Amino acid sequence: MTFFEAKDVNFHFGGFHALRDVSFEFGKGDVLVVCGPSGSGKSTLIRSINRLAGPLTSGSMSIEGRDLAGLHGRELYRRIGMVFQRFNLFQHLSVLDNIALPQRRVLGKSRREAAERARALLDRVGLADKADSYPVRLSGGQQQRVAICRALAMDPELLLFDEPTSALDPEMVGEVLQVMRGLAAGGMTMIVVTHEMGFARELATEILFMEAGQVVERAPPAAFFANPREARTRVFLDQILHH
Amino acid sequence: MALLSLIYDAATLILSGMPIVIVLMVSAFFPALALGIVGGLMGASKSRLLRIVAGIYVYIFRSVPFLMFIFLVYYGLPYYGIDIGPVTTAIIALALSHGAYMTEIIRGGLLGFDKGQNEAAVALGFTITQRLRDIVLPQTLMAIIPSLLGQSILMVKDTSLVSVVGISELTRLGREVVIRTNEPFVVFTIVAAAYFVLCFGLEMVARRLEARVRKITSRQ
Repeated sequence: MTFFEAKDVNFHFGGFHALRDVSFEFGKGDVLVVCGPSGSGKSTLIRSINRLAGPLTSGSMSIEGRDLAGLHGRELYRRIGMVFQRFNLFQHLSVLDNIALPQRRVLGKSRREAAERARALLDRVGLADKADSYPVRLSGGQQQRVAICRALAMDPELLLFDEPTSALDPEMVGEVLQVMRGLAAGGMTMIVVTHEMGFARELATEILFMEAGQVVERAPPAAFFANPREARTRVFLDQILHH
Repeated sequence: MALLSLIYDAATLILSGMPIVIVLMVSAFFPALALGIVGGLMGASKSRLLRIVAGIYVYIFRSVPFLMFIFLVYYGLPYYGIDIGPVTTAIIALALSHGAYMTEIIRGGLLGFDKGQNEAAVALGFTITQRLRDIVLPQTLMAIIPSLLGQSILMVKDTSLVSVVGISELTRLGREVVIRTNEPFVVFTIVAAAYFVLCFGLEMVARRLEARVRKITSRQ
C-alpha cells in the first residue's frame, strides 16, 4: 500500500537545479533513509515535502493519493512534522511550553490538555525532570529529544528528520537514535536524512541514495550495503564506512 | 548660610518640575515603542515598499534636529486649525522622533532573529501573526530591552528641549530661578544633578535587566 508518493519532482533554487526528476514511494509505517554526499539535495528533498524550501518547479508529491500542493499550509504542517539538525527550540520558552504551545495554537487544545500531553511525551524520552528547564540549560542530545516530542505532540502522519544527529557531540548521538528506534518500532512513518549508516542498516525499510539532485539508487538496507548496483553508491559507501 | 538657603529654595522649586519630566517620558515611551515595532516590522519585511516607507520615516526624523519638530508641531498645527496644548505637543514630538530610533533598534533585532526557530514555527503550523506574537517579538524585544531603556534615557534628556513651548519642566524652572536669583552656576548644577539622578536610575535598571536577559537567552 503506497502511503507517500513523489512523482518526477523537479526543484530549482534560483538558477540551480536542486532536484532532478525525483520519484519514489513508500508505505505507512516505513522508515525511508535518505543519504548521499553533501549538496546532493537530501535536505532540499525533505524540505520540499513540507514546502519549507518553496513550491516545486514540476512534478507532484502526495500522501494517500492527496496532492500536497493542494493542501493549505496549516493542514500540511499538521500532517507532516519535522525535526531539524539544530533542534530550533524556542529559546524563551520552557521545555514544557515548547511542546505545549504549538498544540494550543495550532490544534486548539486547552492549556491543561497540552501540558498533560507534553509531560507524557517527556516521560517517554526520559526527560520528565526537565519540563521546567530552558533550552539553553540542556545538552544537544536533550534538546533534540525535546524537539522530537514537540513534533510528536502534533500527531503527525509523517515525520521528517533533517540530519537529526549531525550537530551532536558523538556521545549524544546514541540517546537520540534510541528515541527514533522507539518511534520506528511504534509504527511511525519517517523520512530520515542521515549519515548514520548503522541506524540505516538496522531500521530503514528502504535507503535512497542521492547525488547531484538525482536518486541514484533505492534499495532495502541488506541489498544496499551488500551489493550496491551503482558505482557511485559504492564510492560513497567506501568513503563513509571506512573513514 | 545664604548659599544653603538659596540651594534649598532653588532645589525645591526645580524639583517640582521632575514629575512632568517623568510623565512626558513615560507617556511618549509607549507610543514610540509602538511606532518602533510597526516601523521595525516594516523595515525587516520582505516587501520593498514597506521597507522604503520605514526608511523614509527613519531618515526624516534622524536627519532633522528634535527642536525643529517641536516648533513644527507647536506652531505648525495651530496654523491649520489643530490646537493641542504644549504637553500633547511635546508627547507627539517625542514619540515621533524616538519612534524613528526605536524602529532602527527593533529592525536590527528582527533581522538578527534565529531563522531556525522561525522555520520550526512555520513547520509546526503557526500562522504569521502567531509567529510574530508568540515567538519572534517576545525574544526580539527581550534581547533589545537594554537598548530600549538606553533610548528612554535619551528621551529624558530631550524633554529639556520642550521647555521652549512653555512646559514648566526642570530646565525651564531652572531658568526662571536663575532670573530671580542671578546664580546660574549653582542653579544649573542643581538642574544637571536632577537629570543625572533620573538618567542614572534608568541606567541601573537597564543594567540589571540586561544581566537577567543574558541569563535567559545566552547560548551554551
